[in-house]
Amino acid sequence: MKRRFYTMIFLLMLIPGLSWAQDEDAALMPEGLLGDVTLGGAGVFGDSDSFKFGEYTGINDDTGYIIGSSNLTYNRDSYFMNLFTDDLGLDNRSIYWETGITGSYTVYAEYNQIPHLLNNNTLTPFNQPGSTTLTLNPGFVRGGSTTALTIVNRDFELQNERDTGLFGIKSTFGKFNFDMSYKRTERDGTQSIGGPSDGFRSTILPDPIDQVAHDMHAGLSHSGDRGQIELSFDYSLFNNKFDSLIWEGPFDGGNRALINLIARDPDNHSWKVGLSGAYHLTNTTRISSVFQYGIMEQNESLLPFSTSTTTALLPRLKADAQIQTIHGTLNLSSRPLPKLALNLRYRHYQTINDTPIQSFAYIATDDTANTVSAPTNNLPYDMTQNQVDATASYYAFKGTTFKLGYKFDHRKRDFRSVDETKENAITAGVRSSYFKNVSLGYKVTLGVREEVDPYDESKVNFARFGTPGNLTNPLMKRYDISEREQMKHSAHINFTPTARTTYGVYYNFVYDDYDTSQLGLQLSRRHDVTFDWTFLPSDATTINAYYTFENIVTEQLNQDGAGSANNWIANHDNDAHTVGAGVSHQYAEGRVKLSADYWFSDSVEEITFATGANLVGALDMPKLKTRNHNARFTGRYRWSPNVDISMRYLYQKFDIDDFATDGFSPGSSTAPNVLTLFGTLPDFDAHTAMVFFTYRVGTVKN
Amino acid sequence: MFRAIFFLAIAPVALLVFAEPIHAGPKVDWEKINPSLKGATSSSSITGCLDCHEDYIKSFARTKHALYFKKTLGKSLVQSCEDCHGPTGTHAAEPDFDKKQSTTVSFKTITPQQKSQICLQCHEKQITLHWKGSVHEMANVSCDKCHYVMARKSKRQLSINEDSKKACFTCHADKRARMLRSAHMPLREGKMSCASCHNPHGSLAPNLLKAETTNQTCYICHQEKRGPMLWEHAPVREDCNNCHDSHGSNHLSMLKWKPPYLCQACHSNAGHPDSLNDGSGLPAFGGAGTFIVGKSCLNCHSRIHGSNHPSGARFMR
Repeated sequence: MKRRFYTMIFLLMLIPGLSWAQDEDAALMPEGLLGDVTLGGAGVFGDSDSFKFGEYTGINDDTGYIIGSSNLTYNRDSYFMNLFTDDLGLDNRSIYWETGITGSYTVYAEYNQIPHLLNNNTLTPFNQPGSTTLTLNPGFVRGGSTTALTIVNRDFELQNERDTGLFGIKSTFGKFNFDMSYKRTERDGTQSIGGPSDGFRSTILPDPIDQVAHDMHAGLSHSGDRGQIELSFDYSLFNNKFDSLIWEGPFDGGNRALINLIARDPDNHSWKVGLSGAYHLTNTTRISSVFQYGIMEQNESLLPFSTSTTTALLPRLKADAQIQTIHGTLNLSSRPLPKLALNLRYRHYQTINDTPIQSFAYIATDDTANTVSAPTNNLPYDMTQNQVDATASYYAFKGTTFKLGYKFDHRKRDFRSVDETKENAITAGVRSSYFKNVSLGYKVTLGVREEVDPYDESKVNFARFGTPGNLTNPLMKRYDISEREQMKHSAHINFTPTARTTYGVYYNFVYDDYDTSQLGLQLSRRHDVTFDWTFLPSDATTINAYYTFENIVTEQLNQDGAGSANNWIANHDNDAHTVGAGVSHQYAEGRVKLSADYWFSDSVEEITFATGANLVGALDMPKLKTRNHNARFTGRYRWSPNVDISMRYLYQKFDIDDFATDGFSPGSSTAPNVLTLFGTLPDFDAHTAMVFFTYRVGTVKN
Repeated sequence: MFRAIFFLAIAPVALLVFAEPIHAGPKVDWEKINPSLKGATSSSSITGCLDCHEDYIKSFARTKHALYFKKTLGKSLVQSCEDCHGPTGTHAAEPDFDKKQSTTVSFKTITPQQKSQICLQCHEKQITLHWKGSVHEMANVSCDKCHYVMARKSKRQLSINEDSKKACFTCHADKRARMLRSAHMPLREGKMSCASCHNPHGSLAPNLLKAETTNQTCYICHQEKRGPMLWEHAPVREDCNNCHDSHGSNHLSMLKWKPPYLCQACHSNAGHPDSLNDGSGLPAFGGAGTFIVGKSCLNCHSRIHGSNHPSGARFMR
């Protein structure tokens, strides 16, 4: 009895101790609302009337807008709720909300807007831009070329917007996790599309967009101590409200149609099931894999061959297009020795295109005479890829790791000029932090892609037309399937002479050599080098700067007619310089913070030619230039422990020279055979000033 | 073949089902990471820790991790510390301040693999299922290169920066420059991140892509390009990267090269596809410019991603 009494007393004594332990943590883990809310206003001034300025923000003129964002979390016991919002006053706003019980379930929802302003240097001769039936403006007179037209234009701006709503739930039951989500993406607005009237005349059309995509995902996973497994299902449904676009052709004469019809992206849907898992065979060896099987289907009703024929002539009335996809990867990762890491991977990817092959009459561009030229078989392209990837990494001595790798990539394709290609690639590299304050690395890869069977374009023509012979020059090799030698180098060095200074240099080089291609891409060479510098002169000051130089060179060979005297070579040489710098400094124990950032990007591309004897005197293209300046100055003053007042100034400048659109008045007769819709995007200089207040909840620390 | 792939792929699953119950899980061996932890015991209170680590602990106590440890696992703060730093008894008892760091598992001194192994105690599942053997793991990247768990530095994903791209650019400096090109996806506007397309935690797809191929990754947002189409353009069906540079370019629609030259790298049919389109073809120099101006080849071959029109074999309808 006495022992029981003392036991009771002892247990009672423990209670305050337990409470104390809980209180001890509770004092450090305040519950309730935490985070901040930002509210303010901004004004945009200057020569900013260019869609490039607000390409993804929606700002396209001198204007004012509200600055609004939040970063709020709330928790009480196990319950939590978070609300994150950005750019509430702009057309690219996003809102993310989630709630749930920690470790049990999370319900979340997101709304996201992405405007895409394409071009406001636009004019169109069509009456109802944005509709699916484009009729020429009253007073417009058709002709055989743009110079023969009486053009009546109207203002029009190319822009579209993507609105995404997402809802999902994640739940945990012991070692099981379940997640399910639904995403609805709506895309509205316009883009541009070429509308040919014959092989040599075209009108760039305002192309209406009204599309909805529904994406669903469900996943169930089990996470054990040694192994994990996950089963997933994805379904995607794409619905395009416009299956075609009709326009009145501005060009007449010949067999050019007045009413033209072009197909739009068809409705489609796809589903995919996936099973992935991983297991620790030992503490140092893990095997993992994934298997996915899916089907993409599209079965839209087909349009007639031309606007002057009916669907009764079609070999089938629906597309009946289907592709099965199979993906399986097996990965074995092991550290058999403390210093040795090995990874072996086998990957198989395959598409099985079940779209029936049939011969379709070919009536070019709604030719009013319904001239059928070379009926053509549709070709359901297939690809099978088998890859093996082996990598070994050996930690040789102090901070130094050597790496060796081998990759084999075998691809089989249907209806291409080469049925089979194989590529072998070896990689060697080293990373080291042997020297104090210096880390460096170097990696080289050499890959050789070979054609297993001879490159033969005529077999594609035979599949398409049922007759041998080449439409394309038999000397031409398409670069995605032709033989190629690829050399890659990458190197980096980081030097930290003091705890407050870091220098970094990064270099990448990729050289693709298509030396067996008599015509086609001959070489592609890309190298870039970056210099990085970070300096912390004091705890209150940060300075960083970088410079990147990138050079891209390609050389392509083609033949304008038969014989090497008609050869022409186009050399592309693109130099791009990018500079970035930033400095931030805090005063008065962090109450005042000033920062400045600047970045500059400048690209110049030259396209020059070398020609055979029959083509002498080729004129090089005018240089393609793009130049961007962005400067940002921000000042923040901590008004009180919970309130910050900030001011920001942004300067943005953009210049572009593009020979494809420079000097063009849209919808004009500048090009005799192309009635353009847009000219070069206007350059801009823009100044943005902002004032905003940030109110912090639940914290007084910076 | 299909069957072989299927069985190869489900091998780990079979192992999981049959072997999981008879194996113990791989736990972090603290003593192996730091031999001085041999026989170390746990601390019973956070109070002693606060003497030196008050700021860290206070900021950590407001994070998602602290909440999960406390509310779901029922662990005290000091136990939460020990889940990632090993038992702290020896560390707390060490009287010599200079020797303190050697008596615990500090993320400043352990190897990248050891750091990641500590995180993988709980996170070796779902998005990080394929971390082991991934390009980043083999390159000695550890979780703390991109994530910070001791304070909330970003709204989501515990990123080390509010802008998660900055962590990627630490090593992928060329992509930082590429993103500043004229034609770019809305990354610099904050509407996408590198993780929109890549899974940096490891993926069994090429280039750490989220989906099994480049195209399947692109179809996540560009469902309209998925088709399949009646008339397919073979290189389009196989790989979007044949023509596009998804990290940014100075050509319209992020094309790799300026059309018509991009198209003429593959096409040399008699007639206009093999024609030399030099400067003299521009209207400014007296040419018609039909194949150069505006959208170039796409002035006419506008359905280049594939056509569903029965007369769409040449992608003009």
